[in-house]
Amino acid sequence: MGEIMKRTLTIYQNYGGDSTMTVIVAAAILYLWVTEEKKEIRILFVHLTAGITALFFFPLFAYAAMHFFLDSQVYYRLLWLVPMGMIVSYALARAVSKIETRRKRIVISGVFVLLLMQSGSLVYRNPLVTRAENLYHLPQSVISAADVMHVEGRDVKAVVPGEMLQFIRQYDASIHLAYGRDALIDGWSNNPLYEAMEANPVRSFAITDYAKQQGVEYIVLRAGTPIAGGKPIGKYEFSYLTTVDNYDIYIYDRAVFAEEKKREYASLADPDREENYIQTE
Amino acid sequence: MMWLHLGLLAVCTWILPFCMGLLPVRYMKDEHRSLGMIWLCGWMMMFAVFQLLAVPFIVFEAPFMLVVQSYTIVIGILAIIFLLLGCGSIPVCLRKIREHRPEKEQIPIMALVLLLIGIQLFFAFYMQYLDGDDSFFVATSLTSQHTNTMYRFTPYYGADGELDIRHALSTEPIFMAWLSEVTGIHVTVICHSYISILFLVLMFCIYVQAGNQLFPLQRKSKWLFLLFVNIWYLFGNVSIYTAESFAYTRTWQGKAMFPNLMVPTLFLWLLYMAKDEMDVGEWAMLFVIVMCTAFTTSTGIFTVPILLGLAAVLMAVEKKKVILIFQTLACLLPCIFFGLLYLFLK
Repeated sequence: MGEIMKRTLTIYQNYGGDSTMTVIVAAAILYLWVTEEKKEIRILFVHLTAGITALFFFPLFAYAAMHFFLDSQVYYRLLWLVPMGMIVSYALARAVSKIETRRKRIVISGVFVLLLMQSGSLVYRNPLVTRAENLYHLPQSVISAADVMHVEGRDVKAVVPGEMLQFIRQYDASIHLAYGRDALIDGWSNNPLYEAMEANPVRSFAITDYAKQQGVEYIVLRAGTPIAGGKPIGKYEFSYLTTVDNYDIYIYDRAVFAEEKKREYASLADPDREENYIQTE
Repeated sequence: MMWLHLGLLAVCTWILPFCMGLLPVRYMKDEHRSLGMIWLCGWMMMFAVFQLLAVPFIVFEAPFMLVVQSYTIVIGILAIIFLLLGCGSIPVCLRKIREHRPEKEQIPIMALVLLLIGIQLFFAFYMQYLDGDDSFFVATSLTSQHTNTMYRFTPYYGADGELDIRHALSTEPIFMAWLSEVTGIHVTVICHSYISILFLVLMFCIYVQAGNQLFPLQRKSKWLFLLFVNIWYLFGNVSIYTAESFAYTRTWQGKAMFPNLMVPTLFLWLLYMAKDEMDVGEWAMLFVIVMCTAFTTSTGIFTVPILLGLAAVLMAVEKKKVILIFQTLACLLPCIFFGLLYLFLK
């Protein structure tokens, strides 16, 4: 029981992060509890939200919810049932509306706005929010690589670096992957090809051998990735096709579309390109 | 050609919801009627009809194109019928707009709110957030289109598998695939560059309706409420878990729609309930909204009964009206049905 209580408290703390968001919500509910006269508002914004919050912390309910209908990773979503923005905004607007002079109303509104800004975090300052490169809102390098690998009228199978895994099938579902996003998350998958692809240097035999075992037709590597082994990748039936946006694309020689693709990209090949190959055996 | 695609997108996301909202709003109380309410109810109707229609196809592993064809025909016919039967609501809404022209004193704060919303829409288009869960949700839409199946192939890497029942009962990704199929625009573009904007507009539309309810006689306070809502949302990215973070970074995903579209809408309806302003239209729409929560995420199937159940009990005690519990229970039938279906298929 103590374990469950600790876990719900952690989930609650993580929800608000380092901010005073949950404190502001609690203060808004308290303010409405003390001052609100309208029954409907009291029922919904005070009693109902207090009830949901109490349920969230109630150990028996939390245990049942985490084990039977929401797992512990998504238990925080129970807090979504409290419309925090609606409650806080209502409380603040109500508090301002009680002020008599216009000038005071403007000043207090400004103070409240500053309070919210100070206690929160602007979504656009999140380092993961960046300028969109295209209408797909996907990395352009992923789109370029997918365009090279696409074969009209058939599906292909590829293995790509970790940073491409999440995006490539949002652009082109005809490109199958040897492993997907699950490989990035501990415990979701353990494909040896992923370990081989993310090694530094990559072993030419390991990645081509695993790739062939898994029916992979394209290998995409970050340009300049050190490749170690007895032979370069090209000697293991994966020919270099082209480089796009700093990614080297290799094609399986026995793929039915390989010759056509090679012809298509022959003129684009860089004659001065040198593979970062380290002979080890 | 591009204009044709954009035109179809406008028809599907503006005209269709507007037509679909006309009939339910006709049976709602006069004071709840507005153009925004028509559009909101229309979206809820579209989601609910899709959920009702698509789930049997998914469970019986029918081709995706069958859902596209069936839904397009059904929603087209319903939109025409609803337009013909509900068009009487339009003059009422237009009259309300004429009667409620903003006062001079309101204009600065109105302008500020609209400017803030405009900035958010601009950023939704020009900024990207590379969210990992899209490799499931958006890729599910694209995989459905590509394989002509639903929830069969794993979107992460494209392998054929068994029906993914955990997600299959929430049909939102399939709805996006339908939208893409009908308009001819890539589903990722639709989600990331269009729905990201549109659903923010829908979200603020819901808050406008809520503001009308919370401050029925104080229009200045309503705009102040909307200003605080905007600031709260903009600065709500305090962790990856908040509804506000989901609103901007995953707007198109069902799990973002649930806290940002469904929960505020449910609270709006709870306000109607608490104020004893439930007419036939409102009760019918509550049923539809509950259906929509299942459409967005399986979390909704399990959590909405908690919210509505608790609210109904509190109101029944306060108002000494036990019937409220039974009426709410009737509206919760979609959640009960989909919850049982989930347990049966699991």
